[in-house]
Amino acid sequence: MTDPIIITRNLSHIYQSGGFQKAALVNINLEVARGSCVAIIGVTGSGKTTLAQHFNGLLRPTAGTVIVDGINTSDKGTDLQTLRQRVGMLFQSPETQLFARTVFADVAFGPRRMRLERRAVRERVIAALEMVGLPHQEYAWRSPFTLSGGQMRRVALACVLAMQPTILVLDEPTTGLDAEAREEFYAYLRRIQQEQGVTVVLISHDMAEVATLAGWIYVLHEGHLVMQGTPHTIFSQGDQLRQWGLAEPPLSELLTLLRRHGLAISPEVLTLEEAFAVLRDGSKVPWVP
Amino acid sequence: MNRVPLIDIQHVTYAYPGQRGKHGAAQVVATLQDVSLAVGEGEYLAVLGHNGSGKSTLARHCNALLIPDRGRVLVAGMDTRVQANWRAIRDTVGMIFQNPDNQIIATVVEDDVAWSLAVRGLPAAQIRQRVAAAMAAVGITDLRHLAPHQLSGGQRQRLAIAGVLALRPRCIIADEATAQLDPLSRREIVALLHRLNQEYGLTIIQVTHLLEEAALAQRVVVLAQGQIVMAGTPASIFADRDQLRRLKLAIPEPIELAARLREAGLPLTPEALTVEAIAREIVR
Repeated sequence: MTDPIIITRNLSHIYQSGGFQKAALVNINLEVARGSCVAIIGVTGSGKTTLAQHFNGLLRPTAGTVIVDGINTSDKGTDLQTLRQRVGMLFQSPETQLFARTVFADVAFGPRRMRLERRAVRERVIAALEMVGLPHQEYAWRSPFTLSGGQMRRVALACVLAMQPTILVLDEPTTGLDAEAREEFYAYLRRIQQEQGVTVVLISHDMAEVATLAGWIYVLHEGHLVMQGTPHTIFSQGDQLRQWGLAEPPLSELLTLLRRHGLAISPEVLTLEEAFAVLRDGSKVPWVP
Repeated sequence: MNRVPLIDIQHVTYAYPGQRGKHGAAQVVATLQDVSLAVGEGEYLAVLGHNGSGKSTLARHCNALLIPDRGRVLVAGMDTRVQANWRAIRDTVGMIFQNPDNQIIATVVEDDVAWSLAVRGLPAAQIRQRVAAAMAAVGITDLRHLAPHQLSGGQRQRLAIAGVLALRPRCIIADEATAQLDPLSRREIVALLHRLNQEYGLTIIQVTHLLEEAALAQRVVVLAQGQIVMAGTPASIFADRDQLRRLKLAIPEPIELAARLREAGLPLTPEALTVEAIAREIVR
């Protein structure tokens, strides 16, 4: 890969509490391309969040190295503050982290901590709110707690964006949002990725979401990186995914069933449009004896 | 439906205290507006709606967690406005929520299932028998000596269901009970609710914003802005995709595909709502 923004080499992480040890990550080697959107999938406890926490130095490797945007997080002298400004983390249910009296104060919190001058803070807040579709004239002076769930989540995203990160790590970003709020969130995310060239790392249980957003997928199972590839490659291996406790997106599952019934549908077919085009004229789909 | 519904919601209007406002009722938007709904004994009902549609508020009226501002709710004939009925109502209608951890109390699985029975002072032999039956019904017998934190999310939700089942309710309300689970655990819980309905005749009310989870229900009602806007069989509800989209409900891709193929002239029935059923009809 020409310009990876995240590199892990033989990354292992062992959680230790008292005499109890658990290997959360074992020998992970991966490279994330700058400006891409990648997804990490795996069941609860497979190590997804542990891996993501290495990307901004919340955790450091027990063994191996992690290099993020040129910063080696294992170095004792690593400037974690710079690293954390470059890597924005949106944790699960981020609206619970909102605390200020106004949307403005919440979004301004990070930039203020960076000791930017007032005008720069203001500009960043306005730009970040604009980016998530909450115009500041209308929303900046409202209490975040008067907003809907989807809007609160977008405020939380604006808080991260105001730090102008180069990498955005999202942990289950749309859990509990309804279809419309979800679609809006995706649209803003794509915009951020395209307009700002931000690299997005998505952790999600929702395979349809992963198939929609990510260009590359990493599959974790019991702390091991067991598979990686494009959504086409990953989701065409339903049986393998199920062994790791994962489900295909519902549409892939349907296509897998059809193939098993003997319909020769190419593994390239993944989206609704593609499936419709292939199946509309039933006679075009050859049967495999 | 039976002559007397198990849950009879009659013209219920409700606003949360904060919504009632200081300036009189004129500007208040109620969370529920004149909702009427009767649920028969043994029925499997899905209540669909987007965030803030009022579906959880409606569910909470069914076991007297909320009391109507106007109208009334009768549970097995008992009026939820009468405080003396609350205990009996909550024994009749059990509830499970999004986060099972909020209703898990004990440090060992079987103790947790026994908890509410012990609190009610049942004889030990009866507790043992009911706990064993409840654990068997949800398939956690093998896990009975573990600590709840050792269980997966889906297993903890099954534990929460066992805790409610031990009280021998006639109805279980699952309020977004799968929202925090991974896809396989989610299906497992939906299948469990379906089975409890089929095998034990338990009335199930499943509150969800996911269409695919409503596919197994006998009847679906859709809420929006505190009112029932659609009601019918899953097949009839899923057929009106434009309306569902307007109501901010995501149409699962397999169902969208089946509908478009049907419109394109393929012989698919509107009753094919699960991935398996759609696949069967396509290859037929």
